[in-house]
Amino acid sequence: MARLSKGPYLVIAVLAAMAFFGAWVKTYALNASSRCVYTLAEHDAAPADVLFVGTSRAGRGIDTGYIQKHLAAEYGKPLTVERISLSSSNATQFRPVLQRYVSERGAPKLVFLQVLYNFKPENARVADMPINPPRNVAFAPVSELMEIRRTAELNDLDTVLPRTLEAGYTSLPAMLLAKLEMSIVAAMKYPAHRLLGRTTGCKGDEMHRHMNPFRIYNSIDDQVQFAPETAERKKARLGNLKITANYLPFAPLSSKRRFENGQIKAMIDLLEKAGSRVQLMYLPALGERTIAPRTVEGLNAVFPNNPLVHPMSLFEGAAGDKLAVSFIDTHHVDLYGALQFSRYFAARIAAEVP
Amino acid sequence: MAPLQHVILLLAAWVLCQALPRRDSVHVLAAFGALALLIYAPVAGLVVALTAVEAALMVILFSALPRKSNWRQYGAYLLLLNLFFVDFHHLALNMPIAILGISFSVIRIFMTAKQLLSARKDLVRTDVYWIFAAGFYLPALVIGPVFSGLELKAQYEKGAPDEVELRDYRMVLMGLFLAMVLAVLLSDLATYTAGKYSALAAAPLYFLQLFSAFWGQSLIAEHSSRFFGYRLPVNFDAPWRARTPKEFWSRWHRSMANFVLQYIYLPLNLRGLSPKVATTGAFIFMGLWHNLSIGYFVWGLCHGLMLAFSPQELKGQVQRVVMPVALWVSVIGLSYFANYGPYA
Repeated sequence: MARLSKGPYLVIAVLAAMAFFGAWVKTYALNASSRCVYTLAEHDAAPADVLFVGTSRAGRGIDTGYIQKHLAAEYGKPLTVERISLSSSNATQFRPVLQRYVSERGAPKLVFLQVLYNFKPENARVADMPINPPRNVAFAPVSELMEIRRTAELNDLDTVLPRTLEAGYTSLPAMLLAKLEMSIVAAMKYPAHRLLGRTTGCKGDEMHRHMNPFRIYNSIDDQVQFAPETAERKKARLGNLKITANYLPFAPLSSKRRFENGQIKAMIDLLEKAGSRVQLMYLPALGERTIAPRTVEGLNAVFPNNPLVHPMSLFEGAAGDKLAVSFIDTHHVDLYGALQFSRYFAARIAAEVP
Repeated sequence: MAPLQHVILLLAAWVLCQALPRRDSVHVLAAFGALALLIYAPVAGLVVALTAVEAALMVILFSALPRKSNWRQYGAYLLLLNLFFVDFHHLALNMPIAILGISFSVIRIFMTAKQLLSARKDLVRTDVYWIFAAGFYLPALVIGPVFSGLELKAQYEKGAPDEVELRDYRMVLMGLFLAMVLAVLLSDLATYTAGKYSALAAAPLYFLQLFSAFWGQSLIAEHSSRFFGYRLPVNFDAPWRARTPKEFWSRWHRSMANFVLQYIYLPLNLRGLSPKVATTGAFIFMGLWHNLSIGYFVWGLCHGLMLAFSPQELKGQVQRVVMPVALWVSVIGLSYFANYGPYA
C-alpha cells in the first residue's frame, strides 16, 4: 500500500519520459499539411527565390512545381518557388512559420503575401485574436508565439473587460500545458505511426505540395490535360457549387481590420528586414470576378510600399467565363483554375525577378 | 481544460502535497483549483470566487437569524441565480468567456452554504472556509461531481486516510482512455455517420461520445482525489444496467440527481407540491442547469415526467421488455434533441 501511495512519482516519471520522446519524434496528432509547412520552413536548404504565403486558396490555386517549370521553359529563368499555405482564419497564424523560415533558411527574394477577406461579425471574434492552432503550439517555440501575442493589437469590440480575458485567448501556462499534452499524446501515437508506416515528418515532393494533393503535370501547355468541358459537366458542376460565404468583401480600411492589418504589417516588416521584397496577393473566391477600385486604393493606403497583385484580369471575356466556374467550392479553384493562376503568377515573377 | 492537462495539474499538486501532512492536501487542491481557473478561465474564476464570498456572507448573516426563518431556510437559493452568468454573460460583458467550472462550483458552493445554514449546531465561523474549498476543489473542477464542502471537512477531520489502491490508478487511466481516445473516436464516427446517413442515425453515437467523455472525466475526478486521501461521490454506476427511469437516475450523474432530489424536489414537496409535480419541477431545473434553452427545458420536462409517471417496478414480461427499450430510446433521443436538435 505504501508503494502505491507514492505511485504518482512513477506516473510523473513515465509522463515526463513520454513528453520528451513525443517532442523528439513529433508524431503529433496533426494533418500532413500542418507538419509540411514547418518542415518546409526549417529544412536545410537555401531560401527559395520566390515564396507564396497564403491560405488554402493559395494551396489549391498555386502550383509551385508548375510555376518553376514554366519559368524555366517559357522565360528561361530557373528560379526556385515555394509555397506556405495554412487552413487559416487569420494572418497571425502565418507569423510563427514565417519567422521559422526566415531564421532557419533566410529571406526569399520575392514574397507574395495573401491578404484575406473580412469576416462576418459572428466569425470575426475568433479571427481577430492571436489564437494559436495546435500546429503552431506543436512546432513553434513558445517564446516566439508569446512575442507575437505581445505585439498583437486586438480590435476594439466595445467589450466591458479586456479582450485578453475572452474565451480562446490562451494564457502562457495553458499553452505550455497544451504543448506538454501534445508531446505526451505524440509519444502514445508513435507505435501506431510506426506500425502503419507513416512518416512523422514531411519530405520531398509532399513538402512542396502540402495542401494540394493534385498537381499540374506538364510545363508545356498543349500537353496539359483536362477532361473536356461539356455542357452537362458544366451544368452539374455549377449545380453543385454553392457560395457558402462566411466572409464579407475585402475592406482594408474597415475598423475591424486593425488586428489583421497589424499582423500583415508585422510580417512585411519581418520579411523586408531580412531582405525580401513583399507584394500583396489577393485570390478570389467563387463568384468574384473583379476587385473594386476602392479596395485597391484602401490597401494602397494601408500598405503604400507593397503593391497588390491579383489575377482578376483572367476573368474577362469568354476564357474568364470558364475560369469563373473552375472552382471546387467557395474558396478553391480546380485544376484548370490552378493552371490559370499559376501561369499568371509565373508571368508576374518573370517580370519582377531578374 | 483537457483531461490530460487536468491530470498533469493534479500530479503537480500531489508533488507539493508530499511536503505537507496528508489531510492538508485539500488546501493545496483548492489552491490549485483557483490557479487552474486563473490559467484557463480567469473570469470564471472570479465568478466562482465572488459566489463563494457571497455564500460566506450569506452564511454569516443568515446564521444569526432564527432557524425557521425563511431567509435562513431559503436565502441560499439566491446563489443559484449566479448560474445565469453562464447563459447571459455575453450580454453583460459583450464577449464570450471560458465558463470552466462555474456550473459545478456554484452548486457545490450552494450545497455547502445550505448545509451550514441547516446545521443544528451554531456556526463556527471558520467553517465558511469549506465553501471556498468546495468551490475550487481541483479534481472536481471540470465536470463535478457535486458535493458539499462539509463532506471534505468531515474527511479532513478524520485525517484523510492513505488508502490509494491499484484500482485508483487503473480508473484514472481508464478515465483518460474514455475521455481522450474513445470519446474522440466516437465523435469522428458520429460525424461520419451524420454526413453519410443522417444526424438522427448518428444520435446513439453522439450519446455514447457524451457518455464516454463524461464518465471518463468523472473517473479522473473521483479516483485522482483518492491519491490525496479524499473520496468524492461516484457519478456513474453502470448506467447501462438501468431498466427504469428511477434506476437510470440512481446510476447516471448520481451526484447531480441526488442534489436535485435533496435541494429542489424535497423543498417543493414539503411546500405542498405533489411528488409528481415536484419531480417534474426538479428535473426542469436540472435541464435548465445544463443549458438555458428550449431543448434542455424539454429534456428536463420529459425526464421529470418519465420519472414521475413510469412504473417504479417492472411487472410482467411485456413491461420487462418494453420499458428498458423505451427508456433508452428516450434517453438517447432526448440527449440528441437537447444537444443537437433545433432548439439546442
